Amino acid sequence: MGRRTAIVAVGQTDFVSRRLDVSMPEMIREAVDRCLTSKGLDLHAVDAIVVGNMELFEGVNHPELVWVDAIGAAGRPLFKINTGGTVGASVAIMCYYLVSSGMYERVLGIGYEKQSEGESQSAITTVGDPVWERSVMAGAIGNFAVMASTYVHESKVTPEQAAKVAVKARTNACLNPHAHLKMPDITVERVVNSRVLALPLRQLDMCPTSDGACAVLVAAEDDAQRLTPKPAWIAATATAHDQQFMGDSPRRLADMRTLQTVAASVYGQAGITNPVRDLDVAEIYEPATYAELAMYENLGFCAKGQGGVLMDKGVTLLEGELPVNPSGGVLSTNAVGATALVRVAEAAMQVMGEAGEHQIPGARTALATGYGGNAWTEGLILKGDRP
Amino acid sequence: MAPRIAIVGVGQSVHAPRRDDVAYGELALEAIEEALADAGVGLGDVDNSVTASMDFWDGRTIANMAISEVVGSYLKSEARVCGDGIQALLYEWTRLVTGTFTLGLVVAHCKESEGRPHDIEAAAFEPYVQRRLEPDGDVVAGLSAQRYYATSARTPRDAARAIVTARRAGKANPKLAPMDDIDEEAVLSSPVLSTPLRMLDKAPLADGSCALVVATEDVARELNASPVWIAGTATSTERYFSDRDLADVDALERSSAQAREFAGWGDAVPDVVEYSAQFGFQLLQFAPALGADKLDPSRVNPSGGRMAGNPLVVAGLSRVAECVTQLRGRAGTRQVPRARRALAHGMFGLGAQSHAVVALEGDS
Repeated sequence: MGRRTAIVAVGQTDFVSRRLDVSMPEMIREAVDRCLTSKGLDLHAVDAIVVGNMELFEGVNHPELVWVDAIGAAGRPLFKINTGGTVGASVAIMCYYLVSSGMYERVLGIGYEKQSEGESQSAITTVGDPVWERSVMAGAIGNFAVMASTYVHESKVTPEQAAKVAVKARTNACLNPHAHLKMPDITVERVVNSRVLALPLRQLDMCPTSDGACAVLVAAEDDAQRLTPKPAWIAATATAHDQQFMGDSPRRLADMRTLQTVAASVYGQAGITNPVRDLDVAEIYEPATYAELAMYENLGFCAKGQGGVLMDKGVTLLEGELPVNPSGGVLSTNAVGATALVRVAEAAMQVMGEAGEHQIPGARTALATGYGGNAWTEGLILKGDRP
Repeated sequence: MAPRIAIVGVGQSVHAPRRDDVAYGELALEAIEEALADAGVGLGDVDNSVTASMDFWDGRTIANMAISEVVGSYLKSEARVCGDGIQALLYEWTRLVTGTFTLGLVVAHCKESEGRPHDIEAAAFEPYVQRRLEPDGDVVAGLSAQRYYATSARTPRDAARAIVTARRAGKANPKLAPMDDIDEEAVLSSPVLSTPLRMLDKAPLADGSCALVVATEDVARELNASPVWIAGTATSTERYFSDRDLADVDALERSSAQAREFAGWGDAVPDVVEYSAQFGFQLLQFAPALGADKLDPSRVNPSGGRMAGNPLVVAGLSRVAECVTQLRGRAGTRQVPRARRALAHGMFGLGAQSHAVVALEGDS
C-alpha cells in the first residue's frame, strides 16, 4: 500500500492582471522560493518536479524545459501536466502518487499561468472538436453561460442568490494577501447590475484572468513531520471525466456527474458521511457564481435545488458552518495553470494553521477540487491528523 | 520492496507518414483495442488510465479530452502527461504500486502530419529573445551533431550506416509503413538539413499510437496473459540546450543507471535494447549509456526504432511494446534469442532534453 503522504509547504505569488515586473520563469521562481523558504528549505531538498501550465495560453511549448533552471529541474525527474482547469489538482495528485509509491521522497508541484502574455480565450476555444464544436464554442464564458442557464432552469436560483457568491468571494479575498480581485465595497446590487457577458452571467459573476504561480512540496511519513510540525495529510484523491461532446450528455451541466462521482469517492476514502458536518472548510473550483451554487448541491452540501437557499442561510460564509473558499476562490483569483493548485494549497494552509487572516479556527479536514475541460473533476481531502 | 507490476497487453496502430483515414482519437483506439484483446480484458475492466500527448501537436488545448471515450474514462480517472509515453508508464506504475488501482491503460498518441513542425518547435525556444531567430529542432540537432562529431571518433558515415541498419530492421516490423531502400551514400548525399545533418539523417514524420495494459501482480496472474515485469524505471532532464555542452547525454546516463539499479541488475547486461533516436548521430550518441554498443547489433532496436517511423510522444512506448513482444518470444522473424531482460528508452525536447528508461523482465 502507499505511504502516508502530505503537503509540507506551500507558496504563492501575489496574483494580479499583469505582472510586468517579472518574466515567466522569475514569476514561477517567486512561488517556488516562497514555498521552500517557508520551511527553511531550498531546491536541494527536492527530488522531482511536476509542472502544470496550459502551454497554448502563453504559446510556449514545453515551458518546463525552457525554465528548467528556474524550477531546479536540471538533472532531476521532471513531468509536465496540461489538463485545463484541473491542471493544479492533477499536479497535486501526481505529486501524491510519485511520493506515496516510494518512487521519490520529496516532490515539488508547480502551477502557473501568465495570462497577460497570451490570449487565453482563443486557446480555450480550441478545446472543442475542430469540426463539430469549435465554431460554436466561445471560450469559458459561453460554456458556463450554458451551464448556468440549465442550472437556473432546474433549480430556480435567482440572480441575487448567485450575486451573494460573488460578494462572499470578493469580500473574503480582502483577507487574502495573494488574491487578485479584492472588493471591500461589493454589493449584491452591483453584481446584478454589472454588464452582461452571456446571459445569465454578468461580469461580476465570472472569474478574472490573472498572472501568478503556486507551488507545493509533498513528502511522506516521518520525513513530512520532520519538515513541518503540522503537515497537511492527503487523505483522499479522485478524478472523473465526462463524455467529450456536450451534445452527448445534455444534462451534464445540471447534474455535474463527475463532481458527484468524485465527492462520493473522496468522502468514502476519508470517512466523511455528512460533508457539512465533517468538513471544516472547502476550497472549490468555482469559475462562475452559478457554478458554485450547483457545486454545493453536487458535492452534497445541500439537497438538489437548494444551492441558493444554502447561500441565503450563510452556511458557506467565513463564519458559517462550512466556509467555502475563504481565500476568495477562483472568482477572485484565476491564473488557470495555478488555480486548482491554489485550491489545494489553500486547503493545506487551513489544516496546517497557516492561512493567516482567513484562517478557519481549528480546521482539521478540508476539501479541494479542480474543475475544467469536459466537466472533468478532481478532488482531494486534506487532514491535519496523520491517518 | 515495491509490489510487482506487469505489462499484460500491448497494442500499436499502424504507424505511417500520414494517417488521414483516422482522427487522433480513432488512431488511439486502434492501439487500445489491440492491447485490450492481447490482455484478454474489456475497456470496462480497466480501472484507470494515463495518457501521453502534446497540445501543440494535437492543435487543441486539453487535447486528451478528445480521447476520453476511447480510453474509457467516463466517470473514471484518466491522468495525462505532456511528454514521452514512458513517463506515462512511470506514472501508471506509481498508481498501481500504491494499491489505489489494479488494472490500468497507458496510451500515447501523436499525429505529426497535422502540425507544422517548424512552428511548433520554434515555440519551444526561450520566448523573449531566442524565438525571434525563428529556430527549430533541426537547428539544435545540427549543433548537437557538431559537438558530438567533434568530441568522438565517430563520423557522419557511421551515422549513415546506423540509419540504413535501422530502416532495414523496420521492414520486418508489421506496424510500420514501408520505407524506401537507401544506402549510406543516399544519406550522405541527401540535401543539407542543418549542418552537418542531411535530410535522411532525420527520422521521418509519422502518425501513430501505442497502448499498454498494466496490472498489479495478483491481477496479472489471474489474467495469465504472459506478463512482462516492470523491474525499474527512471526519468531525468538536461539543462536547456543553450546552457550546456550538447555532446553530453547526462540525463540519459542517469535515467539508464537508475532504472537498472532500481531493477537490481548489477552488472548484468540487457538482452534487448530499444531506444529512441530522432537523428542518426543520436543512434551513436545514445548507445553507450544504454549498453547498446556492447550488444550484438541484432539485439539493438530489432523493431527499427524511431528512425524507422514512430512519432514523437509514442516512440518511447513503442520501444516498450517491442521489448514486451521480444520478452514474450512473439517477435516472429525479428525475434532475438534468449531475451530475458530488456531496456526501453524514450526522449523529447530540444536537443533531447528529457529522457526516460524502463527496465523490463520476462516471466520466468
